[in-house]
Amino acid sequence: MKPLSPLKRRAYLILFAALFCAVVPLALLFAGGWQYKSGYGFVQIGGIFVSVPVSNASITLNGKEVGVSGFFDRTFYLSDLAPSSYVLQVERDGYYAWSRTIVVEPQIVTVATVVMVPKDIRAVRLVSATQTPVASTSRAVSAAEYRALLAAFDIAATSSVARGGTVSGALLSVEDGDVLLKWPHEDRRPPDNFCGRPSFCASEIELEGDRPIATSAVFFGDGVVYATRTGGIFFTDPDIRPTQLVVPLYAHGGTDVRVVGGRLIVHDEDELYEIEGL
Amino acid sequence: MIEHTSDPYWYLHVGRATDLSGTDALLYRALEMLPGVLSIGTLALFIVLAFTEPVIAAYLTIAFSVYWLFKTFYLSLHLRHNFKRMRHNLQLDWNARLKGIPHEHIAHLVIFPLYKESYEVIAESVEALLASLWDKKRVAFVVAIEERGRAKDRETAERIVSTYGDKFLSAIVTIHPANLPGEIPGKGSNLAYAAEEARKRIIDPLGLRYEHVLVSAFDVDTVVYPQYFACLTWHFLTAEKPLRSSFQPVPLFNNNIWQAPLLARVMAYSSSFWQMIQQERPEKLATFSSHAVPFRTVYEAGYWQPNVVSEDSRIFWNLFARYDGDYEVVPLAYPISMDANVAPTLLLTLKNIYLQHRRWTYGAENIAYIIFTSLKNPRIPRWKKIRAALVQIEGFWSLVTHPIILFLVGWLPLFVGGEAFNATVLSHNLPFVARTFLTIAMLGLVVSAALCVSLIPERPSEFTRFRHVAMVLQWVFVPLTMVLFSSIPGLESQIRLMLGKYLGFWVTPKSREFRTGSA
Repeated sequence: MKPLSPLKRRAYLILFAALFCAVVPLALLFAGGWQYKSGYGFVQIGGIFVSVPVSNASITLNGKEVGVSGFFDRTFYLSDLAPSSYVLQVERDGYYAWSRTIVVEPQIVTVATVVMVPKDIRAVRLVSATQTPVASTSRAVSAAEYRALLAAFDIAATSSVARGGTVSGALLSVEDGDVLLKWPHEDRRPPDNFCGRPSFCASEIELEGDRPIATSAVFFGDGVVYATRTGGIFFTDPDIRPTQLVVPLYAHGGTDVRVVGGRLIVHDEDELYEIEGL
Repeated sequence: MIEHTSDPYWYLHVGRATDLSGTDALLYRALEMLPGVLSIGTLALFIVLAFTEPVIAAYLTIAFSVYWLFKTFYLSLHLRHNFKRMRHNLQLDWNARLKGIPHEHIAHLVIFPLYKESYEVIAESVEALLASLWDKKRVAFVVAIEERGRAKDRETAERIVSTYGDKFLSAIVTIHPANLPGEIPGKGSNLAYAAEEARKRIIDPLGLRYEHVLVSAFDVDTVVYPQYFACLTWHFLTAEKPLRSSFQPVPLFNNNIWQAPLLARVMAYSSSFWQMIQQERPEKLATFSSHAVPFRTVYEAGYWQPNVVSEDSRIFWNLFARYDGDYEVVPLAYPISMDANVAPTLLLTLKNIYLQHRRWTYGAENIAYIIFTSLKNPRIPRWKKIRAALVQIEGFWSLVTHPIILFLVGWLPLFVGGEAFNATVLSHNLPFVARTFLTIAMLGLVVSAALCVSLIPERPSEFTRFRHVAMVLQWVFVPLTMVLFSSIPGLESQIRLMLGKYLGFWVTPKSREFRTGSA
């Protein structure tokens, strides 16, 4: 039996070299986002990268389900999207629906970090162990702990920097009744939460709506909790893209809020409450 | 020190830059640095691009993965053909093919360099010579031991000669003196000494003509298949230029493959498969490990070079330079069997695999030699010089860089490309596209797994069927072994050459004591 003939080897070489020359440009164009879209022709597509914090949540794009989160599958790359505006919705029983209008631009992947807020949020009254009796809607804590929680409200709320999460590095402050989230790093692109569209990002987001009634604000969980003069305490996820999720946590006005040891504590007149379930 | 003389081949046994003086030394030193500079330069370029131009780096990674895919398919076709050819050659009756071709004048000289190996190892090799379908009175063997070796080596060698010697044309023990000037301890110097001793003690006294003697320079664990000598003789006698040819069997590492741990098996078969691919590309083939060469040819060239690590491939380049480029390797497509790496512990086995492959990849030292001798020998045709140099440079460059790029550095843009790059479609598509091509390329491993199953010897009863299944599944570890046992030792070899930290010869331990290993 003879070795592979030079002629055959040359034919193989030419075949594979030709395939290489044909496939490489296609692969590079595809990787760079060029695709044929019916009705659009050849377009440079964009994408949305969605991360969902809970399992069993349904993800829909313009009303069409594109995925369901699982125990391990919490991130979805929605690729092949022609440049346009898309409504992304995430729903799960027992949670507030999350919805956002995302503008997709060519070559760019927009990040959408979903914040799922459970509907079952409770304010539990905290009482010092020295007080009796303890009602079923309240919880006793040691006198020392109660004093420590109370003392947290002696210090005036100041601006704070997000140490993690989607807006890590952003600065939260209350100015003239407005809750403001600022991106102070001029040399770094802000997170997509600051960008109404990928090519246009703001350096500041107003979180509490049109009426400047906020008194204090803190980072908590994946969002921001702020207290208002009259409306009570609210949770919101910091995002410039509509529609912002605003969830009422505590209904009384004139209250204040702090995060103490990872717990969300509300000070209402002489009482302390802990918000649970958020 | 090697000086210019009137000998037109004065440079033939240059081992390293320090053997030369003046501008020759500078030139050789620069050439020694070349492989390392190219490999490190390529990897550094990729790393710099990943930080500064991640888009370009990502596109290059994708292009590389496409290249890898088609290269794998291309090489797989060669591998498959050689497998068929080898199987065909194993079934042929080579003695029958020799009928009608005068061959009674051909004698074989087998050299087994022995250094600290046990009696059982070499006995198995000599038993195989005895079992071969060839007139043993036309086969002589030499057990070549080292003066610096153990006293037990001498006992082993003498016991082998006294046990088996009378069944052959001749058998002798040679003792390579320690610390001879111009040598480094290693197989090359031992082989060269043994060959000259064999000339004085066997070939000349028996009146054998040098051009009628074929020398098989074997590793001590080399076990021949029954028709090795007949197959070799047929190829020698039918070669276009028999005295301008070396003869290369396919090295399988089957002697102890069932005892070898998983990664050792993958490396063993990967090495065999690479040699099988090269057998179908003779213009790229240099001698490797156990090989054969006409005595006349190797005698005129001054035997194996005693001052290099990779004497097995260097002998080909010696002969290529000595015969002005008119030299080739004839692939036999017929196997021999050697030992896979097996040590008492898995960790030691892995260490030995690394050191063995570091020695093999130190063959990059040939690049300086090839270019230097090409510059000094105007009689070698220019296209042959250029092709030889480019084939070797590309071979050692791709050996080091491709696996590291494909499995490590190529993914760097995802981690260091910065926020702007991470927000691009390209950044999200890079893993998907590159992984797709690499996964399809891995289909080539299915061919490897199938061939591997066909090549393994019968399963010893002490191993369960699971071991058989593991022989197939083991191929998923190829990306890991390529980086750990090809690229990294290759890079170390090239860096050593670049820095002038020359490597010494490291003898792969071979033993029959370790009969158990993990899957």
